[in-house]
Amino acid sequence: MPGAEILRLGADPLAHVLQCLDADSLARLCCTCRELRAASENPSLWEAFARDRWFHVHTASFAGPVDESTDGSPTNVSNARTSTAYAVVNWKRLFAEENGWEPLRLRHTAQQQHGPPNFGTGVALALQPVWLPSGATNCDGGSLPASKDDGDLLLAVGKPNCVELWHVSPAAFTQGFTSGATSAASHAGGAGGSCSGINQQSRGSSGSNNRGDKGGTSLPGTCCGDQGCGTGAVQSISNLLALDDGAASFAWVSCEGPPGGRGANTTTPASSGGGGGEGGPSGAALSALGGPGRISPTAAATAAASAAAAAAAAGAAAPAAPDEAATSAAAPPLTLAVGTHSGRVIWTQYEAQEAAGPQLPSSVHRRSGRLRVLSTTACGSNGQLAELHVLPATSGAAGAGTGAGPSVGAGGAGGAAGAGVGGILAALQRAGTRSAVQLFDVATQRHLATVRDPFESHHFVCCRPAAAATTAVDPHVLLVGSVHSAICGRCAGAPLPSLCNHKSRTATAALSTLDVRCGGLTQRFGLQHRSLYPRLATAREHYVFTSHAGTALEVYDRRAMSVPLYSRARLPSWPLVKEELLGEEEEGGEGEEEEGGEGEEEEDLEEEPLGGWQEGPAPVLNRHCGLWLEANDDVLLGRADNGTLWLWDLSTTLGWARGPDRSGIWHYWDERAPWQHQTDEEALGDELLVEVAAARDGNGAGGGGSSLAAAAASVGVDQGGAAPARRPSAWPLGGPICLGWMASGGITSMTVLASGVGPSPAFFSLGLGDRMRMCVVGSAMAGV
Amino acid sequence: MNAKLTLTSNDGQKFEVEKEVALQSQMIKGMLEDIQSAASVPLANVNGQTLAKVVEYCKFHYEATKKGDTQKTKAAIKKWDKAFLNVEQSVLFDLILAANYLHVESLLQLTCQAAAKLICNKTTQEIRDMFNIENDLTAEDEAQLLSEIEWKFE
Repeated sequence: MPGAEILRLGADPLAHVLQCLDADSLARLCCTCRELRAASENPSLWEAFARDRWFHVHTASFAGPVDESTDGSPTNVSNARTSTAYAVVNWKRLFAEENGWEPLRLRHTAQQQHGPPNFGTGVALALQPVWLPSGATNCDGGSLPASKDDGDLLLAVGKPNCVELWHVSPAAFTQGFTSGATSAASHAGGAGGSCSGINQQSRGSSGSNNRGDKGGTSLPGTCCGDQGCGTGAVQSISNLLALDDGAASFAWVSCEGPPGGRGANTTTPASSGGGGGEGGPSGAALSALGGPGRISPTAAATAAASAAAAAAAAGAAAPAAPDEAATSAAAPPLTLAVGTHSGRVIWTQYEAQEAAGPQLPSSVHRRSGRLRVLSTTACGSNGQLAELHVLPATSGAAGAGTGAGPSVGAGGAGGAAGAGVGGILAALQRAGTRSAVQLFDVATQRHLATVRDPFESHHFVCCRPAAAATTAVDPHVLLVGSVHSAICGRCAGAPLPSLCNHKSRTATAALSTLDVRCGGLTQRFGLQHRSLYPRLATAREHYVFTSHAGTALEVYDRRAMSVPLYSRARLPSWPLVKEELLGEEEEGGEGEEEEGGEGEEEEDLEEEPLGGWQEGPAPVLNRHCGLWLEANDDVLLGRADNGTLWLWDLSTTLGWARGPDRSGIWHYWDERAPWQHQTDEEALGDELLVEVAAARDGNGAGGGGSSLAAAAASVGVDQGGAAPARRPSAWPLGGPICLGWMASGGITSMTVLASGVGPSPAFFSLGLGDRMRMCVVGSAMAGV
Repeated sequence: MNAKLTLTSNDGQKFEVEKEVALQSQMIKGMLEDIQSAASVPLANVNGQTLAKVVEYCKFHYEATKKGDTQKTKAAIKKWDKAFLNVEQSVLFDLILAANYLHVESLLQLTCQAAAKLICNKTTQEIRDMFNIENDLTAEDEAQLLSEIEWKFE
């Protein structure tokens, strides 16, 4: 056999050839002989290989529903554009092989309908969920029965005059949210025996085109004590903690050390959900425990004693023996910090207890708990604490409390368990143009410092920890957003005054970094917008997501903040009802120019079709397009004021799913997209058209009748007979792949999204308003 | 009148080309920068047949560039490139080696893509047959490969 021609190329030319291969061909080539295998074992090639693989799987996943025909062969029933190349990937089998590849399959799980919108009648206005592993907290009822999915979601719901806790079983995300709150309802004195107060409509598979008030199973709220009403996946405990000044925000903290007072050590904080809308009326908050930081059980005998005492106080039907309590209390106590509308932080301890009662069927969720007030800390100002965030102490960081000590106050100086190991609780206090970030020491539960924007004309509107609680990178850094205070009179009275963009063009918003070790701002970056939605999101250590009046999403990299990595000006929107159109026409036009130069998109509103999705970007209206953003390392969710939820997949943009160790770079993986020869605007238009088309067809991206539309447009299938290449294309900067949207608007509601598999994100979002005007008052994400 | 340059292949064949044409090769360009008075460039790693193809490629692209960057020109270049690569496998690999040696980036890219196109959509055995590759993988190697990239055999 004569020598192989290809083998005489040598290393460099052969590498050039290999770089031009697609993933499958590269794999096949490396299986031909040892020499080619060695040449193919180039890490960069294999990384691209893996990314390509992941991309293909995602493409197949969201190209459209794949129906199993009667003979078992998969049949793609979606549009032909996506069925040509990638439908051959049997992604379902791939995921079933437990190889670690999990698709994003968020689905609409529940929607709670409150009564008529009224800020003062018990409407929850903020939220934050967190996962609570089974047996993770002190419990007075002995060992809790282990949940089949290893943990519950603990959700703290704030009302204008109380705080509620909801236990949500993972089963809720698969079975739908129904109540089995017999015990809890009786604890709380809640109504029982009827489901009449609950919207029990099921969201059908074709519900993607429904307005939100037409669909969605319901969360139980505080009613429903009927055992037969469902699976008991959610247990509601109402009126757990009465608050005169109402809860505006929450933060969960897992503490080691003596409970019941000062001196706890922060081990696993849970990121706080936001409070009410910026400048909005006082209301309530919703929060949950778990999330990125799972509670690690550690021995704490004192917690057992505390639990026993709590059991006695609660008068539980089956009080635990001391030894049982000691056995069950193997985890550090959980502390819930509640930010109130009057500027106080109320430190409470969560005490779990078993929902006793032989009458409960086995399927009913049996957890409950209560909150015990530990202490109250004031900060010298009575503005609303709209956001609470915990900056955890890590071993590497030597405890933010310690580090913060010299500069920001007491900082771990005191406390029996002190030793300087604690976290910092950062609270955004909204007080008009004198908004500030208040810092509290978790270990000592004392106020440490007040930080204001040093630029006198600016004030803070939002903040966010720079990195997730699970990462050790910059645990002491808080990102703070600020806007210029020259807010016009009309916007000042609006729910979100920070979205005012009627200022001078030089009055730009800014992002700053606040290092709690020095108690001040350490960096400041001017943004290209005058407005800033009062909510930031971060992912993978250094990516920051912002939203503005005229720009729905903008992505920044903290390593290079001069320009955004990605900017998405406008998203499609629901067509406006006639009255709204008229109202917009009357109001519009005055000073509502778009930021970023999108003003040329203005269209004649009267010619816009009614009754369906508008194909293409929404016209410029007297309405902002800001999104309430929540993100983890793989998913970015944004909720618009009209209730539409947008979901972007970051894993395909930033590399392999999950893990800051695989951060990757912001890069558009798909250089073979069919619009690669189009302009950016043309491409976006195509993308949106397909999204809308998919939505109209009722193509759910997730299972179980999701209304999450598949956004196949974000991925291209045009191989065109040419050798596909992985080389970077001329596409300069790409965006995240938008997986779709879900309409969940309507009257005041809490929308719940969840993934169908594992501990992946559960997303809660609160809206408030009516059909005409609606604003997002809180959203939160739990799980990783 | 443009200056001429003589390129000499390793088998002694000489090709007289305009200097601008030869300057598409970064290797020759660097050489001329070092020795500005050089009128002849010996290319020890390229045979006459291959050098003739390279010179043909460079000449065409130089002329096409002079005509301007229009859609018509682009289409014509694409068509010519396609015909230019209609060669035997051994000539193609010679061109890759020559382009790599002479550092003609566009030619290297073009030929590598052509070679990749030969490999695409072929099975492992078909690739072996096409390139006369002897399978020297042991059973253990194949098992390991199978475990590493099992999915490719689906």
